[in-house]
Amino acid sequence: MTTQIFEPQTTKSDYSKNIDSLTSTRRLLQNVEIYILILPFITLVILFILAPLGWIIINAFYNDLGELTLGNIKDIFSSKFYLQAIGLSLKISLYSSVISLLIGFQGAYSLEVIKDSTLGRILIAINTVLSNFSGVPLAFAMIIVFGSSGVMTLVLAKLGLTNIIDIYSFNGILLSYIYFQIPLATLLLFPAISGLEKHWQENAYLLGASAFQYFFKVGLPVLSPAIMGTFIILFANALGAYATAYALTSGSFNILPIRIAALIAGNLTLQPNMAAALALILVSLMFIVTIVHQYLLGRYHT
Amino acid sequence: MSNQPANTINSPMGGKQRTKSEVNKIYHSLYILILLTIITIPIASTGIYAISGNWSQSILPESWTFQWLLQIWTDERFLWACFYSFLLCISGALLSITLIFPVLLIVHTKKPHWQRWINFVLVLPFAVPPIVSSIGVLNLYSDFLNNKIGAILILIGCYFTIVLPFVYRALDSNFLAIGVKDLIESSNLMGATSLKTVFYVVMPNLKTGFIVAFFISVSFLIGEFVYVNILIGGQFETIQIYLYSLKNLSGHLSSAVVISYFFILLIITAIINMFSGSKRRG
Repeated sequence: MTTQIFEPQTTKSDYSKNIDSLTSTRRLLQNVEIYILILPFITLVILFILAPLGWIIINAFYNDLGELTLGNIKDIFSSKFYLQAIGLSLKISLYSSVISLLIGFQGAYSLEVIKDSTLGRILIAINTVLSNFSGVPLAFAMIIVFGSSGVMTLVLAKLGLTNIIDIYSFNGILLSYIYFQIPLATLLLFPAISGLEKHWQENAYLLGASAFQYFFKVGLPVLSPAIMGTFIILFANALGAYATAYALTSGSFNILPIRIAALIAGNLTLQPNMAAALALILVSLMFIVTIVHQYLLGRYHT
Repeated sequence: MSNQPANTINSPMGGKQRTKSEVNKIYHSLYILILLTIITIPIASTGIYAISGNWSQSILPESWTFQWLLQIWTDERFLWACFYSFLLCISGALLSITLIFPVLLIVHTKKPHWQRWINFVLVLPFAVPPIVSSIGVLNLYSDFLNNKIGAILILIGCYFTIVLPFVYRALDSNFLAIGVKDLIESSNLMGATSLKTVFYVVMPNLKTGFIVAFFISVSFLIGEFVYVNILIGGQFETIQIYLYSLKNLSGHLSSAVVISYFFILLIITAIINMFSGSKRRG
């Protein structure tokens, strides 16, 4: 550290004591400077992350009359409707993450092989754009293609194929989720796969390993932290996603984010405390996922 | 993009191996090409729909027109929505970079042990998604949300939390790449003050990092829907809100908006690639 340059060694004369107090004042000033510099950052983190989170945690345990209660949480776990929302949220997050991870893994691997060609560079750029193309615009694009009078629906109908996919159903929404998760999975896994050393593969082959053996004994173990991390991000991303399902179904698809929004900004009766309780459950699910991830990561490293 | 000669791609193994790796390359190119084609189908179809006059009888449209795109880009409401979108995105991105830069500077020079706390803060936006924090924000700051200025300021604060992890990571890698600590120490040795060092040595070296972080932020924020939809009671519109309002109207018009939005994203990504590409070469 640069401050250490000014620190005198342990000599106990008055002179050095003076210097001591001088440098400590200077250090104090420097620290004040530092805290002033990061104050705006801390303020915004408190105002827009911690305070809203605190509001949710507190209000989840109050009812509309202002009484401290566990009633909201009990109501959620005894309501088929809310339990369905939690179940559907977990299901669509799990399915979309696993499918996108499998497809995206091969995608990242293939991109890595061709990354130096012109085609590769163009495809990497397209993948980056696609990973940002989610929410309302994606929902609209899906409706235009797969909706009841969508382009693909009409083309398929011409070929005599009807009811292939209903974009407003669970499977349709799952498809939309997969559409925005695949480019994200590819993008997140790409750096890790780039980090695989070419000579490991060559060495494995020289030692007589098959491509299959190399993949399962070398590639996969090395990549597993990145794969787990990517899975967690995909899962959390899907669990918190609101815009895509909301725009597709106008808020009729029963998942947690849509339930929360309906309780806070819907046209029906507003129940902010119930919204807080549901939000708390969503955050708890996120934390469980994160902790499992940390645990697995820790076990992997030991 | 840089022009690397095609024959430098690893083929050290001789004839037979090379053909094998070429077959390999074709297989991988095909996979990724087919995958991205399938993923691009909705956008491509939307693009075609946006410039088609009548499309219901055959695989390709019967007539073409720029009518829808013209209608959108001359609609005052859409232009205002673009204005608010960019106002919010650019302010959010600039604010985030301005606030995060000093934190990085301190962590990299004076307080490396703060990194643990920072890591915790960086996970928070993932663990507390916008749909959750928007409820808290709505209830805590409802007094500010009633007028336009207050609402914009609150939104910019929310936008800061969205891009915080991405801006931090983007700038962090740049700090590591240019070796900020050494730069500052040698600059101090030569007698420059800390402030001078930051302005004349550190910041110019981070120029590319700032630009990339800025455009990454804008590309994230321009797709934001949750905060605006929940916090802003129709006081103004962003591109996303405008698009959503077209839901039960003409599919051609919404296609025109979607494809315009896609091209905006495309341009932003091209700019990011241009700058991060030039960094890699330099």
